[in-house]
Amino acid sequence: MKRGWRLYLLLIAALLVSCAIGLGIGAVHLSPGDLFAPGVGQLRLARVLLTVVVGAGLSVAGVIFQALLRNPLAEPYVLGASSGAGLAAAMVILMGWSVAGAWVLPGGAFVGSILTVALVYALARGSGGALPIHSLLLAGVVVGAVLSSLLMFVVSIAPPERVHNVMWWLLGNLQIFDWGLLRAATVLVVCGLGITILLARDLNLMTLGEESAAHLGLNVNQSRVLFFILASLITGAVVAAAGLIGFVGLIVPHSVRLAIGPDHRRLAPASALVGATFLVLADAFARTIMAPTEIPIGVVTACLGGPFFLFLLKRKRPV
Amino acid sequence: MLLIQGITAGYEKHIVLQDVSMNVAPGEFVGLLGPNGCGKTTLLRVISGILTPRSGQVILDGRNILTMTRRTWAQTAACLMQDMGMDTTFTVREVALLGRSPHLPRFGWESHHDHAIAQKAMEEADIAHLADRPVSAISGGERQRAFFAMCLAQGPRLLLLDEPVNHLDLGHQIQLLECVRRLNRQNKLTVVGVFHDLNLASEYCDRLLVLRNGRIEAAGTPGEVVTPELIDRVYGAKVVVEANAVSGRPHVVVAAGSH
Amino acid sequence: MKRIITLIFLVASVAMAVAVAVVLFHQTPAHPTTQPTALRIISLSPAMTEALYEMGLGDRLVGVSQACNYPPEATKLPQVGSLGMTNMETMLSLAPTMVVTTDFERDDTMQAIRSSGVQVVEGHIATIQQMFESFEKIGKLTGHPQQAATLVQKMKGDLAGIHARFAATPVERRPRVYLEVWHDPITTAGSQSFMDDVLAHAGGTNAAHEISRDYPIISPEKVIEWNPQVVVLCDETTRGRGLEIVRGRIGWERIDAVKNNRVIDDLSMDLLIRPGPRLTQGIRQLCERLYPTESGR
Repeated sequence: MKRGWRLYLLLIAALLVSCAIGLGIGAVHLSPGDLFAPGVGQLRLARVLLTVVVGAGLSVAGVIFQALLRNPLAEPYVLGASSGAGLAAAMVILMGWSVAGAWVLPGGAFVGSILTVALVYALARGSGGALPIHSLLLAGVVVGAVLSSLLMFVVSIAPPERVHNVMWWLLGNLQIFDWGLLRAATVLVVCGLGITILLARDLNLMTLGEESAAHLGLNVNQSRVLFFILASLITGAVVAAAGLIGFVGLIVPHSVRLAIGPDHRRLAPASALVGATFLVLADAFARTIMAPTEIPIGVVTACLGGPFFLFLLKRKRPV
Repeated sequence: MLLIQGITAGYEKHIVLQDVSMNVAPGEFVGLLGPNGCGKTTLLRVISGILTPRSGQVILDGRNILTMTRRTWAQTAACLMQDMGMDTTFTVREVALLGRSPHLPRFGWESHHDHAIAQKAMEEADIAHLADRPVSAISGGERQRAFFAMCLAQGPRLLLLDEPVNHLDLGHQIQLLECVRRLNRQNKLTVVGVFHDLNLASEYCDRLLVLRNGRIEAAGTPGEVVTPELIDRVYGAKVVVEANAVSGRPHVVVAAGSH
Repeated sequence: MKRIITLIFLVASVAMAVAVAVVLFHQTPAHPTTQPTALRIISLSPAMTEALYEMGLGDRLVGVSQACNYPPEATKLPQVGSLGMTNMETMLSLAPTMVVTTDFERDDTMQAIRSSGVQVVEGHIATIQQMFESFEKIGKLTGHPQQAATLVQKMKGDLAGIHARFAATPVERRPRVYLEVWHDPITTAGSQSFMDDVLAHAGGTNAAHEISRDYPIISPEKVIEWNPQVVVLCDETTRGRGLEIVRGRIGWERIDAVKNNRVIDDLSMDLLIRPGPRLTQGIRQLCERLYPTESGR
């Protein structure tokens, strides 16, 4: 217990330091006094806040999906949330539907991602409410593949100058211009994270398998639906606000598990903190390395995260 | 302790159990036998409340299990299955503590009391010396004892076993079943177990039930049930049944070439 | 992945086979380029389509791309595909002697067309000077150098007239303009882009001129720091709501262009980004918006 508090203090300190770095550097030089002033200061503040929310959200969604599917390769997009959101976003961008307002693109991505997961869930569900994990993974892969080819089809018939915009969206984008969107994403992710932490013990039971979890007093069907909804809402919110950012939801929960063990009551909050810290640093890098040009955040997360994860894996065997 | 009345159950269109009834008294050690697909494991799933029967009812400790919450069920009974938790990295102690789940408040952590119970369970399961090792890093027999400790930490009055010693070597099989028997004798723990091995069942159980095609074919003490005729009828195998030199219980011997 | 590659390969080889068959059985003239009367042009470039009509070569066009929407007669011609997605079979069935291509086309498609004996004219245009050169080049290749020279002269004259509007304003006092090519993520036009040159000819200074790229994704913070006096939105879907959109962005409300209500969202992009004969119209429109009064200031 005591050691637990020390761990959180350490992780919170790391997050604060990374936020200080994220706020301190950027395409434009800012003195500390300008940080909270209107203008560049507020814009950067909003971006760092969004990055914290997105990093935490992706990691928690990854934690939930890995526990539910009992699959170490599960990540927030495993059930097709990414391809559903991608298709919806591409339609909005290519058809010029974003005319209707700033909320059309994030809203479309959110709806696309939630609908896809719901479809995968419905397809995988056998009669009598059984939900074999391998059917779920298979349905996720197949629906994802179909939607991805539809995305490719939409892109292939689109004017080339717009294809560029879709591609960028698919690589993740943490630029934020709207406090409302930031607020909405924050509310969804914070609520999702809170409920996950409160119910984290149920995730522990789920990792033993559904039958064992039932023997230990868990109402498996109810918990499963609840966690699916939670993880999908978090993923949807994150995708709507920032597009698709790979690797975070996969490697952060893994790395944290290697360091502190599989107890979800610690794993969920610690992954949220580590994910936020990681993404803030990765974004600071993406914003400044070629400033004022920005490089895609998805590229940075993969290039920084991949080798780090392999290093952890080599050092400590069991996953 | 456990009353099973007229259970018919199955999956989708396929009926597995037909009108099965049985009665288990407190402190009894009952073994379920039968060839593959006879419905042994399905019966355990019905008793667990995981599979809802088409008709009939299961009364656990005086209450119909369909009216119980999963939590109440888990406070009364526990189930040890085969090959549990192959892919978790929980330590043995954490696994034992998971057994306290049905007793913890909804959002609470384990108290000192829960830790003490888990510690005692590990000692009873003879696994306390490995308390801080991840279960993925110990042997199969040790892992089953860790999950046995988890079941004990639940503080059950009924313990269900689903072929718990499958895939274990002989030493580990006996170690685990000795543990179960000790608790059965000392703590009056009621045990209902599915067994694959006729000799182990005959050696450890007070009473045996033999299932065939979803119906109870025979029931009684090992001496009454384990006979060459029954084994031929149920398993389609000709064997010789001798008496165990130490316990006097029936012992099945395969005689090659006697067919 | 492997299967996709195989499939693409298969489709491509079938396309090649068909192309070869079409060429063989179509009996293309032995020396197409030597006989001006036999000139059959496919233009994939909307800008060059306009230029060809302007030079009186409209009746030589036998095919265009879907993007060629001007003049109206051009839309009645057979279409051979969209930008970057041309159908080789359709193209070869039109028996062209010359194909005018764009930066978007695939190299292998163009190579295949070239190797079937068709003249391929490439046009990479990053400045207005290069645009004039491309007109002169196509004029020479089609035997219409005089018409090309006339077009270039006319457009240079137009530009001179536009320059007069801001000639009195010294370079450092010309309005700083931020061009927004796309908003999610923020994309602008750097010094390597055609738009940079267009802006200079309209009397503006490109805020992003310091970036030596064509269309870079940039940090939105930088736009606040540049503090442009004019914002031009190129996404025509935001027409009429530009000021509201830009003002609503966190931190952007302090930009001069927003404070002074100088967000331009209603320019016709076909006139402004297309290196064709109507470009000077687009530049004049932009210039009039940058310098609302005749003498500058």
